[in-house]
Amino acid sequence: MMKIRRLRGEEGYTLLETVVALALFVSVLLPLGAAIGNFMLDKTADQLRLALRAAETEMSRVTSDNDFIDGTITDARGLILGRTAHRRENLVDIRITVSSVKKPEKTLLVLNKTVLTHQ
Amino acid sequence: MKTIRKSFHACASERGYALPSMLVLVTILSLVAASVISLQYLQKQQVLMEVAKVKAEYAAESGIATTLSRCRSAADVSLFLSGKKQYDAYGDGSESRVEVEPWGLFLLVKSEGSFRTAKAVRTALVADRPSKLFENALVFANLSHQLILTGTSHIKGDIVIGPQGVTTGSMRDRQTPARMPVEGRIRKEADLSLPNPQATQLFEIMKRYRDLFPGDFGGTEPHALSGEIPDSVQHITLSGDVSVDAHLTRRNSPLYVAIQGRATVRPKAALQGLIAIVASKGITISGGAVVENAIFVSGTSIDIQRSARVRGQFIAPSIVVYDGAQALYPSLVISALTARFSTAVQSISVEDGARVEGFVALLSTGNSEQTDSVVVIKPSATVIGALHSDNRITLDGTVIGTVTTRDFYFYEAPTTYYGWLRSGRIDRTKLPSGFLLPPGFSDEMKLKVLDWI
Repeated sequence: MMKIRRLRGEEGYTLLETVVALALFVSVLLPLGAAIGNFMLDKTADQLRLALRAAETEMSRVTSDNDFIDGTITDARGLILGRTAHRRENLVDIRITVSSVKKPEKTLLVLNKTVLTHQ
Repeated sequence: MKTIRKSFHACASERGYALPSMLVLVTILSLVAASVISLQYLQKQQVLMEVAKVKAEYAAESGIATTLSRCRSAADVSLFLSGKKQYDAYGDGSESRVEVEPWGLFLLVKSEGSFRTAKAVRTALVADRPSKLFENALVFANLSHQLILTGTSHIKGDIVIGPQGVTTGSMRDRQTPARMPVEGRIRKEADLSLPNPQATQLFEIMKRYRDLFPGDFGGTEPHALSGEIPDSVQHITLSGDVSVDAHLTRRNSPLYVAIQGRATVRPKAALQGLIAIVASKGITISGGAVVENAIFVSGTSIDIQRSARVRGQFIAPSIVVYDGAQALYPSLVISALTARFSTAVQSISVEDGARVEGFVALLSTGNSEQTDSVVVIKPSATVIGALHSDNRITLDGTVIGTVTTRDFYFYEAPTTYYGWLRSGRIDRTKLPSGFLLPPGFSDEMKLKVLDWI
């Protein structure tokens, strides 16, 4: 009789523990997993770095070529580089805007620079 | 009974195992998740910091451009030199703060850009676009006599000259040109004057260097300037002759070394960046010494010795660039008096095989009546840039660029020749369009960045 009672008691505990453990698993790990998944899939940092390099390259090109005409180009990495140049006397304010082809409405990065031009 | 106890113990050891093991698992996975998330977060912060740094750098460079656009006259520059600071804000939240100070005859523009917590400093050496007069090959400002070309002398580019004009002449032992050795237009002007440097500005600059000497230094024992000098040291004053062996690099704050005596820059010395050496007596720069953007001011003379390869500003009444020595662009070789009423003889000599890239000028500040001031360019010497004298030039070598002079001169026994060129060659067409001069030689100031420090 004693053996049966003890066994019953042990079974009860284990079931309860299992249920609690499962609940913990579901309530903690699933959102955590989803968050990790999101972070793993989140390429914002990489994309921003890529956008920065592309914008710097474009800025160097614009200033060295004196290419002060508004325009847009799409590069091989799927980035849209827009440039605007606003002249005021002997200064030109250059603005390089970067967005991705997938989400053109979302601006990833904007770089501004003022350069001197003597005519 | 034993069997029952054993299985009981086994059951007892399993009690509560699922919960602790799950808790351990959850904790471990949480730690893994937290580290992944923090890694991602740090990566993103790092990229955002990179972006901020680039924006701060662009703001610093934009600050320099904006300040230069505001300097359109000597008065504008004076305002900045008197301590005015320029603050500018750009649309994206970045800002710049700019200060201007003289660096020899050039200007030093220091800009600090900031965006959020990121900061960047840019320091530029600034010069001026040459005026239209420097588009000519030669400006010959002696109105009383002709320019006479003989021997192998040749001018490629336009000439601006007084009413007497240009002709060819004959000299003993030299061939007489069959036709005028000029490839360019000759424009005669009745009222012709040389580019006039802002003498006031030059005196101000010279005064700054003279003021480095606090008076009587006391002893005259020789010194050696060697080893490390921390960035916090801005002024060093030494009495007696000094031997410079140091490897010094200054990018942000200048170092002024005032020497009451002679200074010798030894072959192994390296002076790079914002370093000014001012000596009351002669300065010698040995071959093998590394000089980059440094300033040398002497009260008497500067010798740039054989095989030296330097880039800097050399200012003294008398300067010799010895054979094989090279002063690379943007170098200045300026004969000027460091005291207003000094009677020191002014001269510049660029010896055979030597080469100066930049600006060679004799500025008769304070004693324009002195007749023995002369710039000598030896037959196989080359000047690339501009050669200016408000007194006389003996031009036997080559100038790729512009010559502006009050007169030419040479002595061939028993005759002294004024206005003659016997072997001098001037070619304006080969001078790169980006050539810049110190501010003050143009009526309409158009400042540009000459070099980033």
